[in-house]
Amino acid sequence: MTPTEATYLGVPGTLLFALVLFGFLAAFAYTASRRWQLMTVGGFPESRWDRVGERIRGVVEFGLLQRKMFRDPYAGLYHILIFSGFVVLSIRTTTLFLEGLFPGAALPFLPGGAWEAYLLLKDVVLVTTTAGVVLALGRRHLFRKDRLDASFDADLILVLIAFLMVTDLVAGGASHALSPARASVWEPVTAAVGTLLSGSSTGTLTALYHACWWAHLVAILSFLNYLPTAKHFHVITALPNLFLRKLDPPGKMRTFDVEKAAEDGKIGVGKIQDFSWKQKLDMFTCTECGRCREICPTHLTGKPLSPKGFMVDARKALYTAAPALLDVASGRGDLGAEERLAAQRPLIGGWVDVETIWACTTCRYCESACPVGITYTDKLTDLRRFLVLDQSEFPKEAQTAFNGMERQGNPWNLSASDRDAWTAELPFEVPVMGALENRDDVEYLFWVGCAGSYEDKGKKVSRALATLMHEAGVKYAILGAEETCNGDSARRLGNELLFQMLAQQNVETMNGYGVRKIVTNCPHCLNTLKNEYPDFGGTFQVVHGTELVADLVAKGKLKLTGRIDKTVSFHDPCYLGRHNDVYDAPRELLSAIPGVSLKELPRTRDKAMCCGAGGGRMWLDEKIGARINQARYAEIEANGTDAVGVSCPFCMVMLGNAATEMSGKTETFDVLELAAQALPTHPGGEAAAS
Amino acid sequence: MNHVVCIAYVPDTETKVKIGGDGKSIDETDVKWIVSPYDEYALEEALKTREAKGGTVTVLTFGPARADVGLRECLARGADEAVRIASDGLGETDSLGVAQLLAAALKGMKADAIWMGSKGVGTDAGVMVSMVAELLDLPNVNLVTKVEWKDGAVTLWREVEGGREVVESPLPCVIGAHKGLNEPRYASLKGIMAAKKKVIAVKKPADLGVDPAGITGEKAAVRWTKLELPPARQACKLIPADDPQKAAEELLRLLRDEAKVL
Repeated sequence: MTPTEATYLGVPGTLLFALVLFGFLAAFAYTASRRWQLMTVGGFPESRWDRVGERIRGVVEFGLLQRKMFRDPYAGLYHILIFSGFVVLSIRTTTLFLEGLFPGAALPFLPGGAWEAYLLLKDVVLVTTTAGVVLALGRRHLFRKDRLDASFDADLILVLIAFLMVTDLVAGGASHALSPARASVWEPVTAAVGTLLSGSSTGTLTALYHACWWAHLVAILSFLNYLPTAKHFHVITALPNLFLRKLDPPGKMRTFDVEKAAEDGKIGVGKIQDFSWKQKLDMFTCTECGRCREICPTHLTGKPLSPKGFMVDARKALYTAAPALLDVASGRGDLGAEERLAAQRPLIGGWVDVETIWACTTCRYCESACPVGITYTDKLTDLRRFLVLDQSEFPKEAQTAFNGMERQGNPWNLSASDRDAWTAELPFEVPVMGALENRDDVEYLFWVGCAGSYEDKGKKVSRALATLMHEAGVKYAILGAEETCNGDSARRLGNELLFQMLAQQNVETMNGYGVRKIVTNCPHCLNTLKNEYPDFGGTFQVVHGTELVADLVAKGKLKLTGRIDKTVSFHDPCYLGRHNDVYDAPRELLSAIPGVSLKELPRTRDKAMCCGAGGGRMWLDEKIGARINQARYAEIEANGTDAVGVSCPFCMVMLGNAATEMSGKTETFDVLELAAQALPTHPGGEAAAS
Repeated sequence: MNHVVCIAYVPDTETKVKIGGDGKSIDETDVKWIVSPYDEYALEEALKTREAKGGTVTVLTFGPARADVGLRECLARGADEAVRIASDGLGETDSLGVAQLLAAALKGMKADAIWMGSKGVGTDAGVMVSMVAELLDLPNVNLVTKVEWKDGAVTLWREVEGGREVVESPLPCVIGAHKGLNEPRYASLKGIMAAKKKVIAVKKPADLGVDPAGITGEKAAVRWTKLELPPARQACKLIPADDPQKAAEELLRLLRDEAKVL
């Protein structure tokens, strides 16, 4: 007999159940609609409905198969146990609802044997889900990872899940004990519980059955209502968030019409409601698992920014502002909602510290680690855009860099006319686009970049790449003084106006020469030219210097014969690796040099730690906490190699400085420098000796 | 309080200067022009004072049409109005000529404080503060690194060799801003957009009652006859120090015979 066939204080059980069920569902519908409104109110538009096939594949890979969760295999295991429990038991829950409303009803249209198979699966899952909860509690209390913080919310949810499993089993077991005819060999676990309970009186069993049946369903409905208010909203939002994830190149920032934004008074994000609907969905979805901060350079060095902390603070700001925000949006301004909204604790400086906003190096470790596709750097840079363009408030060191980029086309503020001075020391002529009579056979534009043009170590690497191309007979040319800063730092420091000025100028110059293929040694230039210039009419095929040279070596057009007996670590630049998925080329090139043996760092490839220079941080002072470059260099030193290979001029400066600051033993080299040294024509090389 | 800030639009300090074809002016191709850095301190202080005490800030320059870009930069940072005295077709003049033009314009502007950089970084010869003040018969204080306002007067800290001098001046006066006075702001986008819509008043010398013939050509007190770049830096000469005695002798010989400093 289904519990709702009984009457409670004279009220028919089915009626009582219907009241409970629809009451809870109505409450959930209300909360969910408020969240929907909150998500869609204000904010700049974003469209995430293209490439549906790719989106669905992502949902399967990251949502259903939870690929990123298994980076922590233990957590991956318990999470998939609990997740599969939710999926399997949702059918069970539906049948319980049906049975409560219409006692004796069952799911229609099931082929023979399917229900029995499901019952078996359900019984298995009741056990595995409980095991998952136990393992999860273990992760939270017995062997907690640094990424996790003590959370009442998390414990409550886990206990609630266990409670659901136990009540389901006990209700089933008591029901079986009451009427053994119901017992099925397909429910071995429930049957076992039934056997355990079979000694009890009918009254006890009935009471237990009813209590657990009701408790189970009320707990489920409470759980549903609890989700949107707590960190476990991801149960509902994670799959949609994965479907709606960013599919553009990860290193591409949002382009917007700066003048129009200025006229509309909407530059970047200054208030919580200025975030786009997708950015708010990200906030809903964060489960505070903390994977984002495990290799976050600012978190690890004691700065106020941790991606999780930022996301949680932004969410608090959003939820706190919600009542006033929704009142204003619904036109109920007469209730003083405008005033209440205006009186909210400000987002910048209130919920989110200004130092937090400026700390980010945009290394994107957080984004590559997040199992549910949350992005962080877009939000931080949108806040910077507001601070720079609307408020004109930013670290004063940035102004020097801005002025340099604006006036001389480089953040070092060195003379624009000296841009190609690095070529002077080379024994051959470096072709300059503007001076060439015939540009038809130029295959590659060598984009030198500001560091490659002005910074001492960077200049050496430019000469190395030019030499390698020269030796291999690659037809290339540089822009010389016509090249100007690509704008990466300006954009990431929030100065979209300056970035767009530089981008337009460069695109115009390159399109003027009909440039199609570009090679550069600067991953920041590469990212901007490849991923961001298309928005400005510049579509180029851009490769990194190591990619081109590794290819030349593989094709036999370059022979690296000089022996360099060194053990070498390789430090992955964020803008080459995580942003543009180039991991192998520098390694292949290192391995092609006779004598070099590569020893991977503990944190390597997509888990490499940032040097601290990205996101325009290259130009800012690092005043809070330990120094990021030193933290990374310490790891490199501990790897015990003779040298560390880098493939980015910013990494070169940061790690080179760290080596000096810490009197380190590991020398810093650019991979291209080492490759050039292994050329037969290099002084001391084969050809030079003969 | 009404402030007028005189600015000079000059080649960026990072410019590699090349001598022009005439041998007495610079080659302006590829030159990036900027508001002279010291004038930026002057503008910043005027803007800060206006924000604290109200009033207006007007920027004034003498130059060709390209200087409008510099004036707009100042408007973008927050100046209320901009005036340019057109140099187009005027012919060669000197600092005194420029000072006369600025003074003539300033006479009609009712300024409580006249600001400029302690020096331009162009061809101004660092005399503009005193010349303009003299022509207007106003007090002037140059190399100012701190300002404190009083009723109808101002206390100014100025850099002097080995220390700082504190002086008080009645208003109006001419103030020469120096490095250290403040950190010039960066124009906000709102400011840049607003500046685009503002009209720059362009005046001809004749509009100000100055006869161009009186300040140019033969009438200019200073005329440029030739411009030369400093000699290129010589390569470093290394004296082998195998024998300290001989090395010292060689050093002395070089200092006396070649460098002729002994």
